[in-house]
Amino acid sequence: MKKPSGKPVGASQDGDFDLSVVAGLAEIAAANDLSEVEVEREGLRIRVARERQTIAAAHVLAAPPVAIAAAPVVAGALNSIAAEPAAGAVEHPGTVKSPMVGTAYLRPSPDAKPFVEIGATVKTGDKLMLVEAMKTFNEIVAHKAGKVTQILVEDGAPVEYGQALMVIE
Amino acid sequence: MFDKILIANRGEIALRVLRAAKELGIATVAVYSTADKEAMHVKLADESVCIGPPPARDSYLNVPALLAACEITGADAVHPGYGFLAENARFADILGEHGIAFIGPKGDHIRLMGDKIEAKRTAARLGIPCVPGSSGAVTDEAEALRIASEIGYPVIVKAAAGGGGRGMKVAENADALLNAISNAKIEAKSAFGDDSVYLEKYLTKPRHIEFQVLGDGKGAAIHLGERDCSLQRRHQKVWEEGPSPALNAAQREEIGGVCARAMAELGYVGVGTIEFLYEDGRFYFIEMNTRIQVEHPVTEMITGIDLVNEQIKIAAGSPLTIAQEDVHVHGAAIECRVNAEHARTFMPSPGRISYFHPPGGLGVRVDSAAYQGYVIPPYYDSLVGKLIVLGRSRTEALMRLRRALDEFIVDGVETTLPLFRALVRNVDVQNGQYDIHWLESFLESDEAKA
Repeated sequence: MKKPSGKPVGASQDGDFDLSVVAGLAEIAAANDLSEVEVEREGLRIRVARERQTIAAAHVLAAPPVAIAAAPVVAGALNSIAAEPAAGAVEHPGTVKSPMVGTAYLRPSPDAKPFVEIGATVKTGDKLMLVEAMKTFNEIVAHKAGKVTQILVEDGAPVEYGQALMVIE
Repeated sequence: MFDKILIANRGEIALRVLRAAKELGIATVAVYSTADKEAMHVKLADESVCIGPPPARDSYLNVPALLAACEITGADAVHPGYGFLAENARFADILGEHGIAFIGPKGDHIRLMGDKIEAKRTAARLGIPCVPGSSGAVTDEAEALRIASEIGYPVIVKAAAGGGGRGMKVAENADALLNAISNAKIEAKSAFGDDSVYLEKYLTKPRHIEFQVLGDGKGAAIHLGERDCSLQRRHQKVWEEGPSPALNAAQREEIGGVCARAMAELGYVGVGTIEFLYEDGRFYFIEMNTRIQVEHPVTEMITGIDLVNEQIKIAAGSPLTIAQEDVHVHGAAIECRVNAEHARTFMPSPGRISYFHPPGGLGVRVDSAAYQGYVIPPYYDSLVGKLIVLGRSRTEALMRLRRALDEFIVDGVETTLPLFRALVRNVDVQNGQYDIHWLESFLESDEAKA
């Protein structure tokens, strides 16, 4: 079962990539307690990210046009009935999660610069991105001050409730 | 035909819809609250979208989230299941405005049947027999006595603005009537702020018998026989069976025919169920449900017709392909709704199912979204699954049910399986001798507590 893919057509989600590479990267990340390992080769870029205790997600990016399928970070900490930790994801306090279902936009308009880029310093309340549903645009703002260390969705990608959008540290 | 159906529901019915869509080659989108992340249908769907936190109003009842999920997945149809938004006319209308098909009846018919007084008027207009009663509020003592003697005692006085069993008084005879009316008026005034009351014939030991209908909105409609759902606890159906042990073929054809003709005249689209109270050989309309029902498998087993498949095809614009003469009822089917509740106290028992082994074999069907290791969330209904058996006769169905219940293992949570094991061994149930009060009497009795 896959997450809904982004609107742009032409991108094949399943490229001709070697799954053992992903497994190998995951092993390297775990063995060395790395939060992220990324390799690029022949137009194919693979990034494996993990939350410190357990592996959270493996992101696979095909050559442009790029379409990301981002794994959701569930607000599992609040749900005491979930006996097993949901996907082993440890709640990162800096994660900005989507409050709604819709389409994420990183820029105020197609020609403008993105609201923020990786490395940007933000204060509480700064605009980070938009999530649009049915022509209504909702601003996603920073819930804390800090540096944007990760942007987890592509411009124009579909997002679901609770999905991790960015990380501010 | 649709390309992609978004299933706006959860649990066993979401799985049921998913199965029908897959068999039609239609892509499926599961939506889920954060509490349902590990749901079976979510795992099996082609795509899934988390739409909100556990509370239903923030997730399964969240119309904007559902619409947004349709938008980002490109779903061209929504199946609402039962409960939640299945009978929400506004939801049906909104989907229509967005060019998304609602797999269900027209918003106007949902609205019509949702208003119980209008539904009764419409039923009467369409020739469906209703509970005899005063046509409106009774204001005058002499009028009340006259109407009551026409209806026949016992008579029930009901608050026009009422509900939930309140503001209702039964009068056994003319002497008791005026007293009953004044008491009902006092209670109605204090509970609802409105002392208008009306009269209806009181049925003392009715059975609950409902007819399944299917229409294409193009003038064709058929009935698929009845289900007897008399075994209820607090107005919740527990055990359903078809055909009803109380009806013969002639009665089935007569009332079924009335229902089918009424739906054809109404131009009803999709599946629906017309519910009756049945007493002393006569039928009395109570309400119509404009959705697929929990107990639909009973009808599927005895007719061989896949109701969800028919719903989808009709919603996609196909005319009805089944003629009334093609509908045949073969054998008997019984459904048990297995809930995660203590079998005697009915206290809800959410939690982790540590061991799950459903029964199998000829004529055994289990519609359940549960699995070993699944955690039943506490936020929604407690249905673990439905066990349905089919036999060539009612006796064979009962034997098969007894056998299947003995194989069914659900550990880790309390379930009502012990109740069904007791019911299938009970003489009245075996003889089909029960009415809508029977189960609650049984639960009070020594036999149940043994």
